Amino acid sequence: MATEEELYALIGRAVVDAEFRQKLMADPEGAAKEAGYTLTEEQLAALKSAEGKGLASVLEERLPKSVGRPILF
Amino acid sequence: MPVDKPRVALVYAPFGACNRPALGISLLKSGLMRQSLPCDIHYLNLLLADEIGVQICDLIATQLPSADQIGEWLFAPVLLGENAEADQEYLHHVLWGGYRDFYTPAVVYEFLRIRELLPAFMDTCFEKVDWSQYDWVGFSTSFHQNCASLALAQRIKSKYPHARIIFGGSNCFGGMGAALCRLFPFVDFVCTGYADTTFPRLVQAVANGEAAPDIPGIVHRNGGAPASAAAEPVRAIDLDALPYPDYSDYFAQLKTVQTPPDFDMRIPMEASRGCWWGEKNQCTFCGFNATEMAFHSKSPERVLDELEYLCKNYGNQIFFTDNVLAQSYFQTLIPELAHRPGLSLTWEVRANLTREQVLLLANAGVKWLQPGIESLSDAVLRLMRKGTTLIHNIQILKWAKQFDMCVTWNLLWGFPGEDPAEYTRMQEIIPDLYHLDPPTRYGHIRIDRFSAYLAAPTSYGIMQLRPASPFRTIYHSLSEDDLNGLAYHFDAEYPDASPVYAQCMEQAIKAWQNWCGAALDVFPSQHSIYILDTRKGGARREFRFDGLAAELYLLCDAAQSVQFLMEASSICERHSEAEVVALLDQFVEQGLMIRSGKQYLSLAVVREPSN
Repeated sequence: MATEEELYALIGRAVVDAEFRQKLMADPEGAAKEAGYTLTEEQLAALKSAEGKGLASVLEERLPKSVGRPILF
Repeated sequence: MPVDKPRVALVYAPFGACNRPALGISLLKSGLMRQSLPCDIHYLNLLLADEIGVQICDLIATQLPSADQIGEWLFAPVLLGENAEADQEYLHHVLWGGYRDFYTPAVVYEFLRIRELLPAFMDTCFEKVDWSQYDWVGFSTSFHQNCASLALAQRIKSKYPHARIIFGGSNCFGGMGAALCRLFPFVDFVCTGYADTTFPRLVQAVANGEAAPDIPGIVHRNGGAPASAAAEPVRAIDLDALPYPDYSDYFAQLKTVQTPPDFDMRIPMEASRGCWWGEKNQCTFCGFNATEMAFHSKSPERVLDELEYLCKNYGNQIFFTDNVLAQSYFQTLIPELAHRPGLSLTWEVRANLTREQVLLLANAGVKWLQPGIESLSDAVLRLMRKGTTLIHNIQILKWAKQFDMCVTWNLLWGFPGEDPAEYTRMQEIIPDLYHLDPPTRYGHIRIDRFSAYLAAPTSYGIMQLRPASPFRTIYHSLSEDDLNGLAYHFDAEYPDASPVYAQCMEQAIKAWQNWCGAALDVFPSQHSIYILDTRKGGARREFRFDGLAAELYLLCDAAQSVQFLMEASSICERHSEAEVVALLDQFVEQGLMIRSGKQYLSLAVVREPSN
């Protein structure tokens, strides 16, 4: 099972390594394994939790809860 | 060669906000149409929203920290190519530098997926519109819109060299516009200030055969390197003479996008430009430049007419883009708006309004108020030259609550010279304010172009000013000098103790934000008051006061000094100053009032009299 730090390292590599990024996006489990990390079902699900339009929900959850929202910037 | 009727395209690129039409280019379109110059606006931000979802587009455009420039980082490879070293730096210094828990691996993974889609999206932008038909293609760029705009402009210019490329918007103000024109050779012209009158004039002049007319505030490229603007941009224009904005393109294109049920669309309208406070005393952190600062406003009659037009055509959720509400409107426009029911208005105001002014705004249909609060410390407010006090800030939050308005505001720290003890005091005050709207945003100040910190850094002990980290990594191929010209946010070194207390402040604010539904209400009756307090852990505290105590509490709904209270005949004829002070101090002790300097302010929100 990959540690949290390893998850960060995995994504960190995907940011800088275009080839690895392609592999990760096509097959997250396989690419992670190839890089030396074993992702659990839970970690895979967490990684994909922001997939597609889910990203908005994931970010929304983390944004400060408030009665108001900034109108301007 | 003179062109009879030049055609103009105006582009609003990602990541511009999707939940509202763009005011600036909509005004330009109307201005061009007045001169019978055809113009189309292309909302390419909506095109992207259709692909990846409007929520994520708006989150990136308006909710995520703008200084991180995430939207720019996503589009950077399309403009400048990928650079692993720069991306690594962006990841570690920006995304995971300060917000590691926020930008989790799953979030960054999804950012990468979006990034992968963008080259194809840029192809779509290029192919979907017949750019060959246009003589001018203008890009409006603010915040995160540079990279996408530049990438598309480059392709258009390359394929259709006859099209003149022009940039404008807040990313082009002042020296940034000149830098943009110099650094990106496919950009022919840049409006470095207000373009309302100058852009139509430029289009006409070029149509009449002038290659590069000298028009104030417009930088141009005449074959080789960009020339300087002929003169400074205009500082103020006759706002009453402007046309109404034409938002028709936005609404037509919005139909193609799936919007969520809670899509919070608001119609932008401007009643004024500039800042009347900043004209005389600019807040130290404020990044408006001299051109934007000069305050000028529309006549009340014009505002009423335009408001009616916008409501009729586009809906009654209006947000005013004004930096600050014109003071004179309290005598003219605001009372008049009370006779026009059904409005839902958003307005930025100074925090030092009176209760009567807040009530006037509520009656006028203002549902969202954005006062420049920034801090809950008099000392810090003085440091930033805000011209307001803690008392003003609490008063406006309280009266907004009383009159059923939502407040959006920021709580900032990291001002050069601030005393950490002020933040200890703020953390003590915050639980007493749980019944009021918490800060919408909070965090460290930014050092922005045009602010006093940049203009006179040594006055504030600021050293080593340099373009902020996101600019250095996004525009990785540019030199330091070039970045200095282009950047809006800057990093710097100065004695800054805020890392010591920032975390405690964040915790205090998060607790406030999570503490929804707390109340501190005062219900006046004939000779007494009843106070209901649920601020402390949900426990219900009730108080009943009568006589002098009740009278004092209600008098201090707007902050009062003991001296002022003792001038009231009903008090001074029957009570001593010592009695008054003892009661006020007791209220403070109970957390029902706050004392700041010589003033006492009741914290409870006045509610309808109970029976």
